[in-house]
Amino acid sequence: MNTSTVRVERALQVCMSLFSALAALVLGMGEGSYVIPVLGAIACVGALYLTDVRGWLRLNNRQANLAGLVTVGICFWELRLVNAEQRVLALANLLFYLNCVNLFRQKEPRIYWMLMLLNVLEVAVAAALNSDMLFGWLMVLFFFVGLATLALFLVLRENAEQNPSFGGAPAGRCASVEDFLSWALTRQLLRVGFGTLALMGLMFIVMPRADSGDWDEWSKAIGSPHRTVGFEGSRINLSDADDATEDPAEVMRVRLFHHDSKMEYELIEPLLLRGSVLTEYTGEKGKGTWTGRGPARGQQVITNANSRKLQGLIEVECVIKPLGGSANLFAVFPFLKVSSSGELFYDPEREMLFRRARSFDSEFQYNLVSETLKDNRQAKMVACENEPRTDLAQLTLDQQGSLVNLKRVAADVVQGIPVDDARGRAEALERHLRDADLYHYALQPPRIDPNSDPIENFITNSKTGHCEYFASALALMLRSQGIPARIAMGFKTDEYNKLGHFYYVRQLHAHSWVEAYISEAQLPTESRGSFPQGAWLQLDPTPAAAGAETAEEKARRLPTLREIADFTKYLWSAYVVGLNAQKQREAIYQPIADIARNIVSPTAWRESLAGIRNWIRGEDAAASSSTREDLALAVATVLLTTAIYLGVKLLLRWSGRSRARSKSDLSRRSDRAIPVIAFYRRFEQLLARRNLVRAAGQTQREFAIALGGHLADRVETHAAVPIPRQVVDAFYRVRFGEEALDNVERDGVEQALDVLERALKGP
Amino acid sequence: MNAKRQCRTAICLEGWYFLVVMGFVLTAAIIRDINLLMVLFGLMLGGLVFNLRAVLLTLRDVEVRRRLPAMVAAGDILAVELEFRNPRKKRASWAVVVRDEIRHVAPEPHEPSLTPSLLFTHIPPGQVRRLSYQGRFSQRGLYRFGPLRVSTRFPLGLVRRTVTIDAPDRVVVHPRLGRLTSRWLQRQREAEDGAQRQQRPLGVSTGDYHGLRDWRPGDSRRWIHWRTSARRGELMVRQYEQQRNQDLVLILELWSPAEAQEADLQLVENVLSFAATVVDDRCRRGGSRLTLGIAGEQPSVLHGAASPALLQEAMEELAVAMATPHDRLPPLLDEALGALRPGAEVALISTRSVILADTARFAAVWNNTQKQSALSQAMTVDLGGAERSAWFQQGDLA
Repeated sequence: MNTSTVRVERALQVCMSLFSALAALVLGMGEGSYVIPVLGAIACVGALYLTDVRGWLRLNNRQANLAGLVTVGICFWELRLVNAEQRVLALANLLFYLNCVNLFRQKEPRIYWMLMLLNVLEVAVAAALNSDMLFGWLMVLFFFVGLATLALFLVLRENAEQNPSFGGAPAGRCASVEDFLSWALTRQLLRVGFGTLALMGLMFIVMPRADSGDWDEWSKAIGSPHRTVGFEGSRINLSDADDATEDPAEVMRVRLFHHDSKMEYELIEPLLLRGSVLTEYTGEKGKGTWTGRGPARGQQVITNANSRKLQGLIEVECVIKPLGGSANLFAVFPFLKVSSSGELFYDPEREMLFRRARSFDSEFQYNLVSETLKDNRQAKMVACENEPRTDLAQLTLDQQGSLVNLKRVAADVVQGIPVDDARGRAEALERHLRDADLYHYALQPPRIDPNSDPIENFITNSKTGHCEYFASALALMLRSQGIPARIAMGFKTDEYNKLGHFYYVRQLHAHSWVEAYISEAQLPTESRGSFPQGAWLQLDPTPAAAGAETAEEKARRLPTLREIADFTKYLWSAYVVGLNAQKQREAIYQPIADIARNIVSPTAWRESLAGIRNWIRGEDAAASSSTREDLALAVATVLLTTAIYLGVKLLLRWSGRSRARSKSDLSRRSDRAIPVIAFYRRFEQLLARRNLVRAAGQTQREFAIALGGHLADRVETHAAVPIPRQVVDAFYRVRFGEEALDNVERDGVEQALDVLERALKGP
Repeated sequence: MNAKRQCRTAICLEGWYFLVVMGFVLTAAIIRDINLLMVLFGLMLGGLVFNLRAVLLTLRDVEVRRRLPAMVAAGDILAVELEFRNPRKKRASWAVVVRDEIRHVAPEPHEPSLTPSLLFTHIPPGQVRRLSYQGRFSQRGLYRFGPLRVSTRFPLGLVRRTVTIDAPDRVVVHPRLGRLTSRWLQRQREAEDGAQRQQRPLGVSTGDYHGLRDWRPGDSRRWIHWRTSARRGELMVRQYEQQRNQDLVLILELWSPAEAQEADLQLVENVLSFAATVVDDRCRRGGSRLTLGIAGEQPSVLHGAASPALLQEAMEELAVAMATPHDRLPPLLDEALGALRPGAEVALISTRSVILADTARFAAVWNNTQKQSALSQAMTVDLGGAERSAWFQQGDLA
């Protein structure tokens, strides 16, 4: 094997090791095990060095078969230990073990093929166990590495199979396989790779899907470990310092749109999604706890609402990630159900929304409508179903003793506001806590005074805390003033993704706020009809963190990288992992059908043109600023793409011209050398006059040698014997060495030719 | 090139394995409704489709030519150059295998078809690559080349595209050349000296100086150019254009029994090898006329001035000559001696002992006075007898 072949084979071995390591990595990701990726990486690196580079460890067929049998034995042992569904993992592990064994064998075409097959099967199993976007990226990387591996393997195989000789003759002039390793090959493979990705994308979106599959259940059964995020919605512990950490983990995506037209709907304020309500406060020295009521006494299944009731309302589409063991869902209360990917339950006593327990570990989608979303705002008053308990309107005796300052501050704040103006008093207390000169927001909880109630300490001393402190303080202040109040827990998000038109809800958006009960009698007269049982007034006493971006600022700026990343994850989750027949109809088939219909419909053309004309003239009131921004964004994207495309084209053309120019320079250099070879032309002409002509197939040097012999035969030409060789040497230098003669050398050659001419003429 | 082309695209064995795995992935994707398996299936399908596209485009419009010598001696190395031209402006060709086919067509096909092949790793747009394969034919005869099968599986090796280019060529593989012994050369010189004395004196100084050439066995020491020989480290002799040699009539009798054994066939090969060596020597020396008569299965007689053209013609005859169990010598001898010039040497090489004095067998010759005279001075060489090594030594492989 020559050097170039060794280099290409080394490249193949490196690619194959990387290929196998990636397969092990994605399989490990799917199984939720670090062991397989680590073992895979060790095996790949070890095999590359020990087996491929050094050749110290090469399993022969017998050893490999024995090792294979051992792996099968391990697989059987694993099969005995696990349940029926997890046997898939045991079989996947068998693929991995066999791959490791083959890595340590002398690499022959058969072994390479086996490795590739095992790797593809490993990735197939991993594809069944993974749903992360990282897996998608790794699969793309795996594909490109596989492409390079197959191309290198192909050229090595073709090189080995070529037959450049027969009959025992030595091989002829063969191509160096090293020529194969070039940037041109990289470009070619990239072209093939990206073309394949495009084709795959097309096939993926148009290939019809089944309406539903049982994959989620099966995936859970075999132990696919979906990533979960925690949500403790049942209590608040004010002594726990870990409650308010900035965890960016995704909890859910919420999309608002008009139920009828499906047009996107964006709020100008943050969106509040309530999960649970907490009513019981227990304050001790140095510790305060909010809890909800006891376990549910009855849950009722929610059925889909009559479609007539939904007309004109805003639909809230929630896609919630797997929450570790929690069935609690979040919603804009009150709501009507439109649809869901599983059964929804409602606990009227605790006013909480649940899903079926078996769907905890998978993504869950539910669509609700709410009457509280109007005029791009979320209503602050929501109807109360049942009049609240009286104990929510007062402090307990213990609390009255421990919350003296809180009571005093609350009384001071509401002083002068009539007692029957419950809303005015509640909002005054809210404003008091939101006063940035008095209270400060901080993620770190205030230092707890072990001898006092945490909320009393917050109001009196620290005046710093996160939402739970503010909400607790307000709820207790309201109760101290006889206004029923409770804590609402859920999420408050203003992270609106302009690209995907959805709200992103993360763990760090977890929030607590207060709901104060306003009885019908205390409501304004015009509102009483809407809230016959009174209403819950949403109060959010938590001030904004210093430096926080306002909603208006967010609306003005362009999407951030984080938003783009979120949108990409959304697309991955919604249209790659979660693409089903319904989404295909809604997102692909229906739009295509609509476009096709519009193309052939003259009415649609007329309407579109009229709409554009009105928009340009500013006559179309419906063309909101967001539409204009979208259009500007689209135009900017098109222009940017065009500019990049043209830039690349120009760069390629410029580099092509540079190459052509350098070739032309080389050619000109050769041309410049040609006049210098005039001396050789004179040399040939001199000899031709004496019938001394170079024979066909005879080189200039051979001719010079023969001529030297001829000149040596005669005494009169003896002096000219070395001249032919001298002239031909100079000719070779100019013609093949691309070196021009300097003046001295040129004169020397001309003088030698003069001597030759005189000698040939004779006396 | 204008050669006829046939194209064929097929899935390789590895491609079928790939399809099986694809089927497995698709089935799992559909049954379990797993979109990521669908993605994997899409990648595999895309790879297959782009492999197909790449092989179709790689071989579009390409030209392949073969260059080979017209003639080569059995046992000598034959170098065949394959030229691959990619005339396209943009797309390169990658990992293209050109497979040639060589068939032995005459005198009797002994060898199975040979399929040498070469790999062209990368041919950029608008460029030409030349590679060569080498081979050695052990049997003399006529060999046909072609068609050329140009194929590629780039980049994944799952689909193969083959373009068959009907580019026929032929090579005459003449009998292996050996070495004439000093006895043969001595006898030849004596005959030439006699002939020259009869015609006109020829010497070193009489001809025009033509140039220098390598020394060959049989060259006179007087022709050696010592100065040049000393400079080059090997013997060089002067060559004169008007050098004159004696005419030669060379008759071969390729007789073998009807049930020929291996030894009989080898004897025929030896006769042909000896004759080829003599003809080669004569034609390279030039300056004489040569008549070659072959009494084989299909008797033939060649006449002409010893020259490269006659050499080629004679070698082609020798390459395809076949032994015969019939006695073809008398009529051929009669025909060959018909064009005899005065002073010409007659040599008969046979696989068996020949008695030229057999007037019954050679009645037609003995009845002609001129032919009778020539026949009486003819030299006979029986290569089947013990004297073979006295005239000729078999050549070594190159």
